[in-house]
Amino acid sequence: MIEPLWLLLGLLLPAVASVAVLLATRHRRCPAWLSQSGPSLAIATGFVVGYTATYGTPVFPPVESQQWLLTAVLPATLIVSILGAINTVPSPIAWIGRLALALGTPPLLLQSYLRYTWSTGQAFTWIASLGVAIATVWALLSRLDAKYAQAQTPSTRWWPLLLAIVAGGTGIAIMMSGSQTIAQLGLTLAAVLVAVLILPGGSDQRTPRSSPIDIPFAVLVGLWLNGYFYAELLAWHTALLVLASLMPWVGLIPALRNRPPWQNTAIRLIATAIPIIIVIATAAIRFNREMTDYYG
Amino acid sequence: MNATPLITFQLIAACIFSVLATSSPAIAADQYALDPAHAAVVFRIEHLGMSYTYGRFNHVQGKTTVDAQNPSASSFSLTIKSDSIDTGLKKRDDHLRSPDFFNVKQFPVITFQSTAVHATDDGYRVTGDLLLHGVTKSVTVELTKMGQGDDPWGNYRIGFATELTIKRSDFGMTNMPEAVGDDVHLMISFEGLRQ
Repeated sequence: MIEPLWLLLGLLLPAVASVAVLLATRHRRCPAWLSQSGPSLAIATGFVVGYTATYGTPVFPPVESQQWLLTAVLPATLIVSILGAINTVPSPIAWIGRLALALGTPPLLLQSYLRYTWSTGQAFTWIASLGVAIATVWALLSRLDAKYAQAQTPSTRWWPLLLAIVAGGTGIAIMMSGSQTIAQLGLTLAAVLVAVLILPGGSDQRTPRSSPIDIPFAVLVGLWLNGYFYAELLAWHTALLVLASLMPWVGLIPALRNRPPWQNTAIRLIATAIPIIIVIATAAIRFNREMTDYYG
Repeated sequence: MNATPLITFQLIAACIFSVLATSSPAIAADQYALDPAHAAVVFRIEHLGMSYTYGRFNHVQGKTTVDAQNPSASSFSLTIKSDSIDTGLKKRDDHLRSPDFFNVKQFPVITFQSTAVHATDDGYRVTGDLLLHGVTKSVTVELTKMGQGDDPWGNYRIGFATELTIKRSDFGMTNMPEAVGDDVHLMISFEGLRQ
């Protein structure tokens, strides 16, 4: 049950806050690295505002998984993203940071599994597998963004908006699976992404070094891990949500690449939406069945 | 040197001690293990400010040391599996287990460990650390001793009951404040089997 006030504080306010930060970083007196990091800073700010609307003042030191996401993973990702945007910093430095985040996020967010559930062997297998999977998807998304950023056409530069669909779909799926609060974080991320990426400077004018996808991807990873491990999100739902984030790649398939821009955009949109629709539809059926079983 | 008289004396002393220990009512510093079949942790909480929803935890364990001569040496500990929450509605229980409330996969147990015990007219005033949802707070309860003695199966039992109210927000459970009240009234009763 989402309260109307939360729609204001958890969706609208984060969107406004992120736009304000983005506009501030576009100021001509801002150093280049800060301007290039503007979208990441804006998305991170909006997410913090939305998190606060959902959970209240952030708790430190963190105890719960979503608190670790906010107080450790998000700042670390922001630093890596900013490092990536500084021209004088060698590109591999940022990639080492991303790799460290990919490997470090699962043990941070899944501490209770390490403590209570997994044997040493299971823990190693899970953490290593998740780390490799996160690093792979992150690399694929960054590669995709670099390709689309080079194209610099309206139909390609806004592709990260498709991540907003994934974020919204993740939120709705988690809401029907078991946790309203984790779900709200997904909806907040979707609202912030839309607000930031449609603005001039949010998604266009970027260089391959100023990708806006680091923060949304890190948050999505946090939501997927929280959803699957703590909020009863089904494994195949989680897999489809991850797959959906990679579906914009279909726009680069040779047979589709040279289609008119509107067709290419529509194909990417549909390809991303299909797994999301499957997840939401089946989660809704499951939710309704469980509710009917108990309320008649 | 013949050691037989000494061994005989020790055997007699041991027999006397064991007879005293099994037949007398609670002597100093008795150890009790909580009897799960006769332990109840029941709670009630307001729903929409209109009614109370009642629930319980089905898996409770604990240990008690009762020192009748020196009550401050007594101790009480309780461990509750948080995923054993039961309000009679599976979907609601699943939601209560989720990160929105108890977050049972991250916080699988609720524990209470006494830190100070004082005798009262009808039991004990027990102060202790309550760990709930990853947050530890000191709480004080008035523990009423309901009774003690042999049961029909030859075990020696002691039984207690208490009620207390905590605020869930004190333990970081702040979700859905409009629908679910902040005050949680707990009714706890348990029997211990002397070890």
